[in-house]
Amino acid sequence: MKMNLKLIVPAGICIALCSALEGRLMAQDVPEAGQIGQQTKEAADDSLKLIQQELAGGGDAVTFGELLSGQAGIQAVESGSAGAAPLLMIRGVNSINLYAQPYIYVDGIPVRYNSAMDPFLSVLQPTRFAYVNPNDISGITISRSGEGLSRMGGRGGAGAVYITTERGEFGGTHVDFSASHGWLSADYSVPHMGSSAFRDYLRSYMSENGVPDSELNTSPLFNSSLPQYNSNTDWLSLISRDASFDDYHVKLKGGDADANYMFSIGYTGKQETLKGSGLERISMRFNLDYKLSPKFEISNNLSYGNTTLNYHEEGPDWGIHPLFVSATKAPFFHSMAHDPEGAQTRSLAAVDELGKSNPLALVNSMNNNNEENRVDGLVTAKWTLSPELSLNTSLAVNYYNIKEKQYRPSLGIVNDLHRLRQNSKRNSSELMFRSNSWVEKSGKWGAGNSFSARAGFLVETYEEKSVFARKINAGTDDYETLEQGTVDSASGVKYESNLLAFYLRGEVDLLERVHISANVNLEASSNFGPESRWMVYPGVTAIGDLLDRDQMHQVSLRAEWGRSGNNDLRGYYYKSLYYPANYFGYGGVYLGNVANPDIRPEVTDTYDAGITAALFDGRVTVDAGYYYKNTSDLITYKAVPIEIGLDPQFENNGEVASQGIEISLDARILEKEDVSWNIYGHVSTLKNEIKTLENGDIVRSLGGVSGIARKGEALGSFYGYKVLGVFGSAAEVDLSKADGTAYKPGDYIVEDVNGDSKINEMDQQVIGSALPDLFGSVGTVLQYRRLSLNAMFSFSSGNEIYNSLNQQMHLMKDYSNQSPDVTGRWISESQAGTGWSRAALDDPSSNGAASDLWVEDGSYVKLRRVTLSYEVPVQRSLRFLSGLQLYVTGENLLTFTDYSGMDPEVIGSFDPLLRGIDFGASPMPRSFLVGLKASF
Amino acid sequence: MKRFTIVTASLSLFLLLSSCEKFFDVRPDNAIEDEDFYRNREDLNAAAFGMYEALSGEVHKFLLWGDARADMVTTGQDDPDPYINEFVLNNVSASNPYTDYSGLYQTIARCNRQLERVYDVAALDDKMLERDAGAYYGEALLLRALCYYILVRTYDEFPLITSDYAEDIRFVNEQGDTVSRSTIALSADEIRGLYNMPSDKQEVWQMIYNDVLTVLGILPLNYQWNRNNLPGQERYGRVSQPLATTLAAEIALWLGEYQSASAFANSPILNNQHSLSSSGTWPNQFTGSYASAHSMFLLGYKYPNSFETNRLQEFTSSVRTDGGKYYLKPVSHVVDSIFSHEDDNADIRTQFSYKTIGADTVIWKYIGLDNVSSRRPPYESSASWQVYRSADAYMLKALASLMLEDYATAFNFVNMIREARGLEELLPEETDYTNKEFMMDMIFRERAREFAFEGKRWYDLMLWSELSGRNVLAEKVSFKYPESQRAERKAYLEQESNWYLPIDAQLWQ
Repeated sequence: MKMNLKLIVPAGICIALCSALEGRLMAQDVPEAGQIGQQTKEAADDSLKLIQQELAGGGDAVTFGELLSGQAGIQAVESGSAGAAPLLMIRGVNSINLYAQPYIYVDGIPVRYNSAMDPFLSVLQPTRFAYVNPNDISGITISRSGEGLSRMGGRGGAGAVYITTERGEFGGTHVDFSASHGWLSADYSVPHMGSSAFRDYLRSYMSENGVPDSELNTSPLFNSSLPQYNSNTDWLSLISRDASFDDYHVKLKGGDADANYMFSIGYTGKQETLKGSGLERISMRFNLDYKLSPKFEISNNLSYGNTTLNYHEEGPDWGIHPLFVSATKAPFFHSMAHDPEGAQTRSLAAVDELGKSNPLALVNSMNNNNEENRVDGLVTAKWTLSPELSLNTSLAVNYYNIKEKQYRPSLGIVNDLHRLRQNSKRNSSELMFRSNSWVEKSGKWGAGNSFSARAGFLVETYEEKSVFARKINAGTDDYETLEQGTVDSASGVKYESNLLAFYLRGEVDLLERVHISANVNLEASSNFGPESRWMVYPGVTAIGDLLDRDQMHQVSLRAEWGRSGNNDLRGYYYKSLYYPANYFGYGGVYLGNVANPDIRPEVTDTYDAGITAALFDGRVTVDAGYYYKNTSDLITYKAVPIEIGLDPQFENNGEVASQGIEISLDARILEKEDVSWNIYGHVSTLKNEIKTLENGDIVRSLGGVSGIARKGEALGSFYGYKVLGVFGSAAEVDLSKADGTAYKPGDYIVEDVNGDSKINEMDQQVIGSALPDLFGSVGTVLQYRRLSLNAMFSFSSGNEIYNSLNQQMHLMKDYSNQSPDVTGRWISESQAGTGWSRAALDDPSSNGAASDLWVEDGSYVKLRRVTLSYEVPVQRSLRFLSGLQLYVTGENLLTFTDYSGMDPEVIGSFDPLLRGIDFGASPMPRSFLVGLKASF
Repeated sequence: MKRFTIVTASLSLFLLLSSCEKFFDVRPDNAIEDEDFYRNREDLNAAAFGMYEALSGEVHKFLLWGDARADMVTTGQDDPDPYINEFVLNNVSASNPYTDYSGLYQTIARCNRQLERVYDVAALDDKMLERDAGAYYGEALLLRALCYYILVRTYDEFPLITSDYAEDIRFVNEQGDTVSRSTIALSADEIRGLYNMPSDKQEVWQMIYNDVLTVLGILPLNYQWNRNNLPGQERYGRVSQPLATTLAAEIALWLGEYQSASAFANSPILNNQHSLSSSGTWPNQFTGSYASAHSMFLLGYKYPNSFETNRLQEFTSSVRTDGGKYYLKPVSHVVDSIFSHEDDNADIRTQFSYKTIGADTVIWKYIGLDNVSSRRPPYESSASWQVYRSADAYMLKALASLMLEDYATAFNFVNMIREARGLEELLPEETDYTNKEFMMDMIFRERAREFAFEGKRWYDLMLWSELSGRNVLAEKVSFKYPESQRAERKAYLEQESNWYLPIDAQLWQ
């Protein structure tokens, strides 16, 4: 029995990667349930079809990001934090102050990719797509070109990802079962000094900072007879571990002439390679399609997902960042407390004399925890009035809840200002109700011409709520709830948004040569005022086939334009609003927002031109295209003179453009009975530039690192100083600080941009950009008899990383353990070192200000995954078993990069200005998985 | 069938559109809409608190402007923070972020809005009486005057904003017509072009003086707001009639109207709610939120439940674990010469204003909880910022009397202060109290003790120079620098134009 390829890849991903098809495949067209099967089939039948690309190596895809990483036109940057959402980018970044991630449409229902709220803990954005089990996905489409995005109107500005889930199939019940187990390991090597080297450094450091020898000689830290100060602890190995991964999934499919169903249940457990963190997910899906009569069909989707996540600080809150604390804590301390006689006790060591937390307390006692629940329901009805005319309506309800908790005990963990202990909770929910109704008509004119059209409207209401509370300083570390302690902070937010849209779409196919589709989408969002609420989002695509469609080779040209937007403006800026302002314990109020009735969505125009060639009956397909994506009316703060006494006010002012070339290739090089070989690849270039920004530069900072939006530069460029060297001696010092006092020898020489011999904010400049010039993936699928080998590489080039962790390892501003490099610091004129600054407590000369010293090239090539699978021959006697496959997968086995950090895939933050900052998040683990898939 | 479809579609379309407005009218949950605000007395009261809020975030700047530049304060850090050090060195650059006066202008803008809305609200809310409206009006006018009073002594050039420009700016165009344009629609340069830049400082002084005098008649006496007695926080955390008279007295002194100054100062002195009180209760002004009798107007912070803080602990504490950065500390040789160490430091102000703890001399007013060694808890910087205290009126009375050459009164008032702070009275026969220069020196020294580190010294030195006709400021301030720098710093400060802070307002917008 010949096994279907689909079994090899459980996700069964069928991707139409030709961007020319996108327009026809997507938007409310495709995914609104009921239509799905039919539409994908259409796409597959299309002469322009490139390939039904089985996602190579997707067999172990656990997360959403892994599924996306092999797709054309999207960059999905992942970190090793279990449960962290990957950072997505489709054709650049095009918003500064609004939501800048693509929307994800699951069976036609838009879902925000990440939360609108600030991360609960520093930078981590938990993935919200755990409810879509990769095993249930039947198709992924990346929407990036103009017409397709115009259908999403105010949600299309940043691109979109379409996901369709599997549906029942005609035939008896069919069961797919899969199970896998994996071993994950990560390399947490942060170069730092060993016990004795650090002790020498520390002593010298203290002496350089004016601690007299008399004090040092009596300091217990340097007393070799005290056991509590004479360990040689490898803190990094104490907090890291070899982690495991388990995934089980059962899927039932079946149906008869009137009803088809798909039902699945999945479980995933994934540990992070940092102790105490990991993710558990349970997902369930029930998709049902049935015919009430030959003319009336109904399809239902119901899905539920539950995810729990434990995680640690992996952002710039260095005091509780387990990895950072482990790298910088003196190795001569012990993890357990010692009694006054010096004997080891059974309790964890407290915060040490040098001010560092106990890393074990951070990973074992401190607790950051999420629980997410999501329920999605969708009903679609279709009334076929005639073969060419149908009425459709769909109704979706989507509920999402996340409970976030932090428990921060006192023992072994540094205080957060006056807070010895804290318990925080945030409970947030989102509720969406969406109704979409449309009439669809298709037909033919003569022999060679056909058309289809649809007109409809949709109504949507959305509500988001969140309450937050924090209590502090409970009596003991035992209270892990909000029951004890004093209220430190409590807040609640609520946001509502309603949307109404009318749309008209049509496509015509003329003379079997030309295909034209067009869309007009009239949309209004309650985020804007009556005068600027209604937006028109039009789009048009033209595709011309150069050769007859029955030829072996096909070449077509396409041109496309579409307008989309970004309407995610929260805050009702079209109204005059009074904000709270407390004074002396009394509730005060002030005019915080002055009505701006003209404020409207940001507008994105996308232009595409390209050529697609499908050669040798589609065995080789090449697609090359150029895009230009221009976003205008950026919502930025108006520069109101401060004497007017207002807070900054939002207005539409600014323009950013991205452009690039996207090439996809797919070749079935060998297609024999026994052996087949396939290679594929996608590459995109990107040039992002801010065209205008009348209100001036916009700078935002996180953990001392700044990103800037500045005219003529890429959005979110790193912003800081350029370091030219170190002042070797007092005689060399020719620059002064802002106040005119001279730098000291051993301080970094900073480029004096404005030439006034003073270094201050004016001397900052753009020092790099996190956006890649080029990115993509290449892969291959090799099949020989029952064996198949899939491999996929992803790459990125020209992107820079701000290595904040590395900077912290060279700061020398406190008693932290540092990189061994700091032996090359400036100590005196005679010991001028090898290019590192002097060691100065509290860094009075701001040698630790963000600078190009810490900006590195982040280009890489990564063997993202390689899978070897074997189809086990099933004996005839085992009739119930129709297929069995075993596989082994390796992930992240090889990385080629010059980047000095742990992993060149760096998220930084979801803020569009603060991407690509390496705060020392866990690297992507190297993992091995074994799994089996069985069909019954 | 087709017709049916069309009918259904257009019907639903119609229904949708007709309910559109309601559908799109989403009410913000975390803010108050314009149409719901400024409807009644409570709204006015809330807006009044909003006026102070902007100011309460700026007190560390007041410390820099009024003290770091003057003779009693220097940097505490070995390697000082450059922008703090610029104040200490008196070479403040326009790019120094602490020159940003936006907090003052926020308060001014909120006051302007309040002024323009008070009587509209009074018309809507019939439980408000004329005098209630007057109280809110007077409060806003007085607070605005206070802001301009800070500005006029700190900056050389700044615009006078005296109406609510939030939505529209009204101005007279080239044709001579009064026109109104939407603020948000104007560019920043256009807005700046419409500013009323005072022709000279006198114009500002007159405006401030007039506003304060206007207020005298409409602010309620003795905190009888809305026919209710105000609680303590509101008595002293909001401007009041006694403040108006004190401020009027001080402004009159600056303007050389000594007779008026003397007369205005009488009012708070005669008011039985205000007195010099005793040395025992003097520290309560700093350790508590306020101290009755002593307090007159302060910017207050409520820490419990509200977590309001200022940055004074950060600026003055030398204890890192408390959140102290030790930016500023007393200049030992100057404060030692100013403060009295007689009678075993009997002067409560010597005990409480500053302290030497270990190797550090620290400003104690904002971190201490008693005159021994207890301090505020870490990161709880909620000490009140004193703007005016009862003692101000007494000191102003002394100065005004001196300028009127009423030496006996001047001398008596100095003695009243001394006695109330724990010192012996000076004996007239042992004091050259009819020597004007000597007495002026004594009064300003007494002021320096009373108001040390309260952001007043620099302005005192300016006033002293004004009253005496010689540049006392340059002389005193240069004294804090090391010998080697004194002459150069003195020469620099001899130029009165160097007394004012530069500002590049466009940097901070």
